[in-house]
Amino acid sequence: MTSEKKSRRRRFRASGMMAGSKDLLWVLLWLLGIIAMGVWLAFFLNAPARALVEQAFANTLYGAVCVVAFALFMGWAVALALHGLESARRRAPYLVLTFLLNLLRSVPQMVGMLIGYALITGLIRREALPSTASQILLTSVITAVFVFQEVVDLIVERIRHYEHLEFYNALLVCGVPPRVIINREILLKNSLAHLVQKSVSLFGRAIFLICSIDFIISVGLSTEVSLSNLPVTLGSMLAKLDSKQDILVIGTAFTDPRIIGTLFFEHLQGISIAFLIVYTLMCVYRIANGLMERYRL
Amino acid sequence: MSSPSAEQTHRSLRSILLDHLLSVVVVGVALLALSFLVRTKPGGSPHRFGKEIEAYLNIDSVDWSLPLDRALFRDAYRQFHGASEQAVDSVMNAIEDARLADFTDPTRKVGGGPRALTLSAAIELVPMYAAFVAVFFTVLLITYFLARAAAVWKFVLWKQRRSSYLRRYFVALEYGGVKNAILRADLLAKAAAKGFASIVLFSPAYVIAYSLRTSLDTENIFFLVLLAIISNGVLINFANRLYTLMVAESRKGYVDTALVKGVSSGFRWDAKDGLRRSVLLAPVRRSAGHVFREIYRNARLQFIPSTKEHITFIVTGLVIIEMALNIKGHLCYALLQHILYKEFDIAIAIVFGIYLVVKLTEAGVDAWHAIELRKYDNDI
Amino acid sequence: MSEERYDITVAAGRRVLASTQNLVITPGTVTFLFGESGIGKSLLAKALFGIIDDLDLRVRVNGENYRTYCSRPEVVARKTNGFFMFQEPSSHLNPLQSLEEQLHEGALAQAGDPIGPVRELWDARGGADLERLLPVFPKPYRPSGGEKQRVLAAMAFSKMDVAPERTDEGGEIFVFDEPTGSLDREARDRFLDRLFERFRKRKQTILLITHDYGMIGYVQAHHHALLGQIRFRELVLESGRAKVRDFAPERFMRWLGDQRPQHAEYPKTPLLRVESGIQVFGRTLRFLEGASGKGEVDMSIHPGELVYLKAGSGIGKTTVAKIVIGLLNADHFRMEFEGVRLGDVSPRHYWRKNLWGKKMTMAFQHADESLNPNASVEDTLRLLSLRTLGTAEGVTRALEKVFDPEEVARLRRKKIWQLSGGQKQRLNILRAFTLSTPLIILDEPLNALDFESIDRVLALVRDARRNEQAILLISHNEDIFDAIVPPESVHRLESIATS
Repeated sequence: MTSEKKSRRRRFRASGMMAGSKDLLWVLLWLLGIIAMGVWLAFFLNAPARALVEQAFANTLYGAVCVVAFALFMGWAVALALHGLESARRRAPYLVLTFLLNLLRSVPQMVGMLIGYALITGLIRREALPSTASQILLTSVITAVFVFQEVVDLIVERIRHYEHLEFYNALLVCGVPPRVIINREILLKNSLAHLVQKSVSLFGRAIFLICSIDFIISVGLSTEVSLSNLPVTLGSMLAKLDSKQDILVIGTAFTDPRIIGTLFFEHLQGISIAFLIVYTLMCVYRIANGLMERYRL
Repeated sequence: MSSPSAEQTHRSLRSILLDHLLSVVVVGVALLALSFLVRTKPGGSPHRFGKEIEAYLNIDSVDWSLPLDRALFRDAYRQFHGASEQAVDSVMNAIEDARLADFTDPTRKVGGGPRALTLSAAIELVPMYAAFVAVFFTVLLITYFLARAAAVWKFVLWKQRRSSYLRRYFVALEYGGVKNAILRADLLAKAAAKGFASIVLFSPAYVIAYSLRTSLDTENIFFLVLLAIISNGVLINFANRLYTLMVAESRKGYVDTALVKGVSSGFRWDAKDGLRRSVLLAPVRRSAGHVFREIYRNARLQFIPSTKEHITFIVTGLVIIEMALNIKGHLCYALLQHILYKEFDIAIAIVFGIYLVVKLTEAGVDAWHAIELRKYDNDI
Repeated sequence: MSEERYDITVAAGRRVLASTQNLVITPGTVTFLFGESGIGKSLLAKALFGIIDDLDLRVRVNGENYRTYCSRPEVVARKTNGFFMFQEPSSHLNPLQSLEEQLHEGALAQAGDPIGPVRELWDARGGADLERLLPVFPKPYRPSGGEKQRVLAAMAFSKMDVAPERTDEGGEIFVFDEPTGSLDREARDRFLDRLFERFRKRKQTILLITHDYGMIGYVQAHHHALLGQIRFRELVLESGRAKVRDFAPERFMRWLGDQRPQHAEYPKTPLLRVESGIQVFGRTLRFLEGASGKGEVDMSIHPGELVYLKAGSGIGKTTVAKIVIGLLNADHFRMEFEGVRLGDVSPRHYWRKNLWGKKMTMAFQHADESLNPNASVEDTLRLLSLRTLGTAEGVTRALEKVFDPEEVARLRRKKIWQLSGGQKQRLNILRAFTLSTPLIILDEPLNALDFESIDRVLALVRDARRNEQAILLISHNEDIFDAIVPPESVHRLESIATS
């Protein structure tokens, strides 16, 4: 075999190996992209705007992490409640809980979140929520309420999967208590990959929903006056007039390609925010997919 | 990967439909009660702020939207009145509230005072509701067929084991020659197009819409439908779900049994043992005698219940588009307006209307699923 | 005829899943391949046949890349003319096609009568049952495991009846992977008869993977004339690689001959008495005495006794076990355990509070499912929270009951998924015995075991009995247990429709 064939084969195999862990690849790509953007902005965007973009990005990420945490906790609690009620053959409470869950499932996320946000702004006006952190926390709870059913479904499905196998029964008849079987044996030891993959995909969904609702609320008034003093996130920043002007330029680039060069140096506030949103959504999606492929979920 | 309604598949169709009906009734009653609580009283005079505040707002040389002007006023006020920080703060807050009221006080709305849910208000909503329903179903159907075709295509490509465009490009770098240069350019162009398509499909609707606002008339219904289909990640998630189901089915045992029986199992396009491209449009009809047909049919049966999740995503997408892009004359934008103007009872009626559409569609999907399952039921 | 020797390696990433240097196939013979499950027999057979999907797995056969191997004309011919009957019947049937459709699919459509082989495998009484079964879509409980397995076997036989498409190279190879795991002895014997009938006609190359050593006895007794064309081989793990050895059938036959039923005197009061006439799932289950199956009795188990519950597959042996252990409630059943009367009206939590892990326990059929694949061997025992397993020595002592000392050292920290099928099954059974409950229920304890392991498990059973523990046994290794269990401890289970 000639040496060039050998090196080609080696390179092919290396890229094949990388494909085996697509999720790690995309985590890396995401981090590199964000860092590259950060460095670029340091050179070409003015300091106050840059501070705002950074703050908005941090708030959005923090909010999304909170959404995932709340959704996991609520999902786990409700799934265990459902399973407990079913095993104890308490039909009426079980049916009521399932009914309520199905009801929530049918509410379009955006509509539900709007109602929730309306309540939050009322609370903020009455100064019941002093700090940014507490506001983000509460908005995250509202968002989590409309996405946690997926966690419930996942956990219930994992429990059912093991109940159909001999696994659950085999441990029961050895005297192992059901809550140990579910929490330690099924969830912790055999479903961690599933839960991580679900968390990643929920993280992406949360970012999308948070940005969208903030955008809607900010844009609803079409002025610089904010409806309330909700913490700044990527969505609300995108809705600001100057950001909107910035991304308008992308459209003109189609008819006037000369402008493409300027996109990298001017209009950076809007373009960087749009980039952060879209790039993060895309990377998170690919990470979730990569995890699914790697662990054959 | 089973959907939430794996349990429901064993319930009779009647009990499932009753369940949906019950949800509608419960939610309807709850919302009705809520709307009575928040009923707006029609009429009413505009809330008046102190004369002083009004006077400040009307100062010619102050532009209240500029931070600089606000800061200057603040200093001037403090100097002039010798007031404490707190007093200054409360005046500034009062001025903010007054400005805010310009946009949210229903009594200041152009076109009269706050409206309650009267018959005339309801009738006004009907054409918007009809438009919403029409757009929703159009988007749902188109997304379903596009997602299905995309999932089948991605599955066949996966089976063909083709490396990505970028990887093939790097491999092609080893060689020289004109033909190879053309191939490389082609691969690079395809990779770029794929990247661009990714960006578009993942972008939230407002990013796309605002990027294009200068070059297209973005407020017509055709654009609305197009945007609802391609943005917000809807198509990608929908297609991916079916694709993952097909991949999982292709690993199951009965596929091996079929292979061993000599059923066609190649995946090259238009080859003797392979698949015809028309399978993208009609996966079952155009794959007779091929193992793909069984993989697809099994995957599809599990896919049907999961379309219910996508219904809510599509509605979420439509809400985002109409609200974020201020598409006047459309239902969701009207919803936002009514919330802002505190006409909560009309808003609740709209929310109920949207919920009804979702529920009806879900009931339809459940009925469809039950019918499909019945085909494979053992009656004995 | 000349032997063909295969050096096969199947790997996923860097992990070798199965590997052997000397898989020997003699064309025109029937090769029985014994050995514990989980060491790669199925994977190696699939690699040989040419049916592995090399998307996730890397396969090399005789030093060749798998794609090259699979495109060899003789391999293609063997695959086209042959058939592979896979191991698990339930996952190898399409839930969206009726059984009849699946029997006519692909190359089977060319057979003159694809349903013929199915009829052959059904017993004479079951004709009407079969007709009712053909239009059925396979679901988890209908058809039963045994019925599904017979359908798959029929597909293989159907293919054997079809004239080969390509007669130029290689002939044909028919692989049967655990073809009788869900069948009772009668059905198994019928399968072997039909298989050899076809073999006599055309002398195809047949590879039969099994751990039912009892087949040896049947073949020697009923197909003696063909012994010259039958090879008995065993796949054994030796330091990570599997070696194929010749297996001397006399080893098993002699061992079987040495087994003697252990008669014993039992105390008058039984530990457990289950009344005959359990009503569940619309059927009534009755216990009949002895191996002959005459006379209805209640099933009684005394301390130190091993009771063997026999029945055809699908009748309800596991159902009875689940009812006794409280995992399933019947419409009507009565039993008395340690003087306490229990039945269908007893509260479900009685078993959980008082019996599970303390007074009774059960070892299920499939060790793969019963053990936590991501727990270590040590953890699996520690989970039992027994004082005796609190220390490392306690765990070692327990493990040494079924594993060699050097095996114990090597395996104790390994995760369950890394063990072979036989090792898993040994651990599964050990777990039940370690609890030292007065009653132990064993469901197919010899499943997946190789010859050596069978001995160790039987030793466990003997020790437990000496310890006054009672054992309820379900197994279709009738060849082995008929030699060990005295007829007075055998019960037959019968199922009739509830009137």
